[in-house]
Amino acid sequence: MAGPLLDIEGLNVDFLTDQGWVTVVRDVSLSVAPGETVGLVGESGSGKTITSLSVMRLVPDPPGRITGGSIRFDGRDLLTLPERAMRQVRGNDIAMVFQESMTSLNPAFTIGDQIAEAVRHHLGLGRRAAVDRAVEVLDLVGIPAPRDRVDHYPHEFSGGMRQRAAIAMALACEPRLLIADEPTTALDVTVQAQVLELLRSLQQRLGMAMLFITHNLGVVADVCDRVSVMYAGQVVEVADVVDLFEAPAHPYTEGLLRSMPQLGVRGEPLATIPGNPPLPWAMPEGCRFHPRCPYATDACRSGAPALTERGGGHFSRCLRLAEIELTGAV
Amino acid sequence: MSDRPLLEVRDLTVQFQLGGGLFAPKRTLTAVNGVSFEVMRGETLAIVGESGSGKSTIARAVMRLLEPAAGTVHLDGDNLTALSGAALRAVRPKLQMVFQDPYSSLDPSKLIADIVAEPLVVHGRARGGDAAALDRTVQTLLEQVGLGAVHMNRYPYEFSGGQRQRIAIARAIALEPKLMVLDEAVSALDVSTQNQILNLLEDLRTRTGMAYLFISHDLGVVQHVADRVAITYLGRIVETGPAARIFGSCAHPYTQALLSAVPEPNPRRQRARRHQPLAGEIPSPLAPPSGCPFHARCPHAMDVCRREMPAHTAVDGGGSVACHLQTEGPRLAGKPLAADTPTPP
Repeated sequence: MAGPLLDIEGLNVDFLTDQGWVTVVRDVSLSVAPGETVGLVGESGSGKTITSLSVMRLVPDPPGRITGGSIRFDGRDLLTLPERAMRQVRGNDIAMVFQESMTSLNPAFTIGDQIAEAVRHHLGLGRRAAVDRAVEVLDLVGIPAPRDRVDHYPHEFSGGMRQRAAIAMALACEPRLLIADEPTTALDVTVQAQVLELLRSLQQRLGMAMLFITHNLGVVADVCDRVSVMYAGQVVEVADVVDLFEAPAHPYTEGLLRSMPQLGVRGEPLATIPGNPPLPWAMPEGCRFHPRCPYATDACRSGAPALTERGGGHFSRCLRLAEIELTGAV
Repeated sequence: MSDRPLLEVRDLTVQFQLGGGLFAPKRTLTAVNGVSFEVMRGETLAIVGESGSGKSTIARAVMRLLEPAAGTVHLDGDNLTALSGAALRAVRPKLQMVFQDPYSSLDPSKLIADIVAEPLVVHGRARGGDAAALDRTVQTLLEQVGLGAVHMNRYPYEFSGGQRQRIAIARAIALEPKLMVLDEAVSALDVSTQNQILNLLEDLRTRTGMAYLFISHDLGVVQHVADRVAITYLGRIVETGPAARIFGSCAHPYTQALLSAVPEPNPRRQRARRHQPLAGEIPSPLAPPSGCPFHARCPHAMDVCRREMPAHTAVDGGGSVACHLQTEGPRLAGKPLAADTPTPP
């Protein structure tokens, strides 16, 4: 296999808050191979979105600051690129789709103008060719009558159609990596199913890689090849998608899997993870999950575990990995 | 007495007037169209639907936060739609609501103790201004939702989403309601906290005998909590039934599409069951289709579906369905749809 397309190593991101500088992303490593779909899973505040914004160098500064690590794309470190070169990477090599297509599309311009702007800038196409390209990609994402729709404004599209248009805009320059940040979270389930199917088929056709950020394990099971699980700003587990569900190697992952209401027994309480995730300025000593972990021992309260490989590309950040037996969702 | 429903909703219709400005002509949007259902004492009825299906409007009309255009809502024998002023205020304690967003449903300038005490004060249950007694009641309420006296003198911003939803629940149970309307009450929460709240609600229901009208779009959650389910589409209930029947053998093609669209949290099984998703989106309630509201997206649609709105007919296993497949063309006659039939029999 060729080297990874995206390779994040030891990423640290700090934010200035009322409580002073806090680290919201700590030593995060992550890789995506060409054509691969990697899921980045975690609850709100786990650092998954900040990690993805770091790849695009879109972390708001101030208050945020990338304080360490490297992000290699196709061998080049994006963190040391001049802003001018970075602008060529954004939208061209790496594109992004967000949760809220209503806010990521500009309400004052037609869908066609917004797509054309990107392709004129990145591909150097003329006005007419750019509009043709916009029609082509709208057609690609399944928007009916694209020749007419290209002149419509975002508010004239339904939620599902807007998300398709946002995907069309992201794909217009044929990126090699698409970062999708909760792209279906705001959509209804029947429309979510359509958009997931669309992303899957486009990926196969175009051969692009995807970094798929979500909190929804059903979506992960549907689209991802490999998964990184984040908790409290750290990656706690990395695994092939089937391994993650069937043989999780971190107590937090086990807790998430057991918490899925579908797996609950009617009339019995649902499984829970006790407590709440820690705040970034009050991270627990030792393992960050230990206050909520049913397997925690004294060692977990003092020693911070490293991300270690259990074999077969399956990594876990747990001191007791060898001693405990975790169950998956079967 | 106990077999009479606690809540009885008949032919409820809710309309909104849009436009009417200088340039926009007045238009009528029918958000809820002739909806009937009941909730028994101590029961959880889930109303499920996608955005635009009218489920939140139903909740608001039941709460009398909206005036229905037609229909009646009876709670415990009282016709809520006919009451107003003091008479309506007198029945309000029986009916409480928890909203989706715990960040906007709690007044940020008030102490938790005051937020939870407010319904008691408003409804004159604060017993002649005995502050110590009120404090004790508030403390008991907070303990029932897993919080404590230490939380009383804090402000909402000091709490996480899950804790705020506990506070909203403490406020809602203060008047010992018979029916609690939960409008997407756990949708904004992360999975690990969502389950804590669902368990708390279930625990409160067993302890107090309250009934829940549980509005949700999340079928995984509904499958776990609901006794009965009503599926809504474009302002109408298209299918009702016991949860086990709905999730085991549904009768409406829309219910089937909805259930199959939820990805199963198991990669092997999910990839094996994947199939062509339902096309299209829910139509605009400003331009509802003729006949059955689902016909444009329905893989089984027949001519009659484009012309006539189907009536509700009974289904084996309980509940009812509004679908022409039951009575016309290939007759299902009370039978549920066969699992994963792509074409009509």
